[in-house]
Amino acid sequence: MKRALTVWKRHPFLTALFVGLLVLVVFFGWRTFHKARDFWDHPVATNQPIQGWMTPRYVAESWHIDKPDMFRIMHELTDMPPPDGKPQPLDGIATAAGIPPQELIEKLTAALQDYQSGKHD
Amino acid sequence: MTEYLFGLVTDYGVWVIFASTFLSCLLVPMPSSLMMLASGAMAAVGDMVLWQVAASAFAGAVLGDQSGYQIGRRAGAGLNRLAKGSQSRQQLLARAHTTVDKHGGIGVFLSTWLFAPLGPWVNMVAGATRLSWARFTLWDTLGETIWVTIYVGLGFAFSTSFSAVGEILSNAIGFVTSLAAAIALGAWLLHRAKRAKSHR
Repeated sequence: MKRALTVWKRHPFLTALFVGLLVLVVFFGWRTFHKARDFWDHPVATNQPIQGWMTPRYVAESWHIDKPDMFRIMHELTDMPPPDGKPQPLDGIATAAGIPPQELIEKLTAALQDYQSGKHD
Repeated sequence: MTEYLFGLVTDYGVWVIFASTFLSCLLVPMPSSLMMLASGAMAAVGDMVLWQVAASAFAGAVLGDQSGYQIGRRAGAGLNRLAKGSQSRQQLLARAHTTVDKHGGIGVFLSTWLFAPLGPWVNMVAGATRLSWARFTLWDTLGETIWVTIYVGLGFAFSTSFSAVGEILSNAIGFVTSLAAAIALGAWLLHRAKRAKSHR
């Protein structure tokens, strides 16, 4: 304790920095533990709520839809040809197809739920 | 954040990955780790090609580090001029050179991936204290290989769970880096305290 006081008196700034670093250690350690535990409890993100930034392939992966089926469903909803080359997010596809993005997301969610329930019947 | 990054990658492809690792090695705050995880995930779902993602991240990182090293070299010349006027400064600089000469290689290596937040600083210090270019490049390339492999690899492996993995990793890196800094500073303070006691 005495030694700590001596250090504090001689190097007040560095000692404060040291204490600050200890606070960071605890903070990051705690967060790492929590995030890891959350992930351990729910490891695989299945059926992630569909969002505009996701690409059809990404959604297919998360919802366990075969890629050809995914492209067929997308084609039915948007009347657009399947993607070639550059990946496109759903937002972009909706805009290109002249549909409001939110509407496409809702329709796609419904169609994928149908597909999944049909597959498991 | 995730959506924004993903949007950038879908719009501009591998160039965004290159730019983000390049700039992050030069102290521009870029979420390059998350970017690599996201593009690894995109490779996993088939939206990108894995080797292209890895190659662009690697090229950006190595070129960014090299730029940081060169900036350090230029600044180092200025430091030498500054030190010429004072003996204590010269001693300090000489000590820095010795330390870097002894531990510089491993320091560069660890700062590229394990203590990633320190990376840009370490590159500049390595350049300023004239760590040999060949040694810097060897350790740096090795370290960046690990950095890129870990992040792109985990993004690829965990695909649609990449953002959860990213949160764990970024906190873990914060933990390891602050722990290492705390240990180093703590040891130094303890050393000073002991010395102060023996001088009394």
